[in-house]
Amino acid sequence: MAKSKLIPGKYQYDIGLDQGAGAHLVAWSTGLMVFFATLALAVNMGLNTVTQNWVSGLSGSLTVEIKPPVSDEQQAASAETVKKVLWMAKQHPAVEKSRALTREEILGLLRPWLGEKAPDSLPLPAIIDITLKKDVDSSALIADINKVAPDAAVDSHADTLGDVKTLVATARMFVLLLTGVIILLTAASIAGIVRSKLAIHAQEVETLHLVGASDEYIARQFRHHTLKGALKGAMGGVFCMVLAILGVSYMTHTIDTAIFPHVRLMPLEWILIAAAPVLAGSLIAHFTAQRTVMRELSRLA
Amino acid sequence: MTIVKFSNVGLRYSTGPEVLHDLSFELQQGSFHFLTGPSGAGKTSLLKLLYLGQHPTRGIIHMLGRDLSALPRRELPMLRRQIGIVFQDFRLLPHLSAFDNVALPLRTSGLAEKDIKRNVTELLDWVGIGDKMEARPPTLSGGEQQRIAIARAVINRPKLLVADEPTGNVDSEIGTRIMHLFEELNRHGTTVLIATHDDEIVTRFRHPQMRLENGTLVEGPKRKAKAA
Repeated sequence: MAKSKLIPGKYQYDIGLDQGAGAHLVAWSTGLMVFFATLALAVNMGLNTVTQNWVSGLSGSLTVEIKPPVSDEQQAASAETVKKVLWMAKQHPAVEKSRALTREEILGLLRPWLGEKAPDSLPLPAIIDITLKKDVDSSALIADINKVAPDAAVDSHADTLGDVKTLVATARMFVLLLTGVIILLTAASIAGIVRSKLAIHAQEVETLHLVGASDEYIARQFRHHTLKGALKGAMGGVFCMVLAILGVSYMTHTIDTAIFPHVRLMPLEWILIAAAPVLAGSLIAHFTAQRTVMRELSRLA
Repeated sequence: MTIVKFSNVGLRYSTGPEVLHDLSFELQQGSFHFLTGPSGAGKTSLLKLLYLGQHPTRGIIHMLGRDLSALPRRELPMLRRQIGIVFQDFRLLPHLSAFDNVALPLRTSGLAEKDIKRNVTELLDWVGIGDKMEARPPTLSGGEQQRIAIARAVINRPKLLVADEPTGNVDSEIGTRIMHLFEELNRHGTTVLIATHDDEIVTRFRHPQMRLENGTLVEGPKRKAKAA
């Protein structure tokens, strides 16, 4: 790479890499790839946060459901069972706290399915929410509840939790695979652009060789040009992605968190989202250009 | 000291006919030859072999003491830096200034920028382009481009200088100055080989000739090499 003598500080290439219609191909290509890579990274982080929200919401608690009474006698028995379970839970060493949900709270849980006008006569089950102490085994507690209330259904959310974890792990694996494909596509497109630039500037490259330039001298120019283009493109790609994330965030902020948990990224995660794709895209472009040029030049006479 | 030694060298392009046949000759250090011959005789092909722009299809070439057939690719640049070339079509890089074109061989050698500036400015002044150092080649006349090409070829004080019609696009005064420059380099030990059609230059400067006809050397240091 030559440094122009009469314009101090301005670098110029011996080969006309920054001239002509294809001068910004690397920037466009890298920008597009970085946009998708950033999207994949953001989705991955979002899934991580959503999983944590769901897991922390579901684990460490038990829900005891006592069948709805269909007669006055059963209603009294049901109320007695609730009292017994609550009393037992209060004494139990594994329980942090416990409480029975009010009828309003239970109707609130059913509202998405039944709407606002659920009939007063609707028989509702009694629901007891038990919060466990940290890192305790709930099996002894479940056995004790079953002794006190043999007909009660005890849900430790293990099945739901397992399904959620499997679903999220599959989604994250898919995103990881997609990121791998994006990286490969970036490298392949950079290699293609560098090869076509070598073909376009073949005579200049030959002249440089004949005046004594080494392959490394020529490769350095391609490397510098590609890195500069990739950095520009990557920053543009990240900027567009951040705008897109903010846009999606704004449009979805009114959606119920129970249906669509809101993803809040920490400052470190924002920095990671902004820096990692730029760094990765630039490094991929840099090393791909170096490797492609050296390999193509070694094939010349 | 032998700078160039050709032994039974032949050249063909791809699957075409052989354009150079059984060339055997030596060029000694400090010699000065004109390469003459009709168009299509193979002068440019011979120059390509001399400036390492082409591999021979047969035969052995020794250049500056190195057997080219055994030369690793990584050592080619070092050898090429000792050879100055003036191309018939100049081969100037169009987006670079006159200054940067002439500076190329020095930059590829890794010379310090202050030394490059001093040497290039001095040489461009000498060839009469001192006032157009920042001009791009497409904005210059054919004669001015040729002088830049010559300056680029000699800036490194090469051990071997090969030139293809170096006086073809300049008037007789500049042509004479260029020949004097080549002779000055020759006096300092540079081996010079100039391909030319210009009979006046050949007659006036009285250096030995290598004459090619149909790809065969019919006159020149060939006989001397055979006798040796």
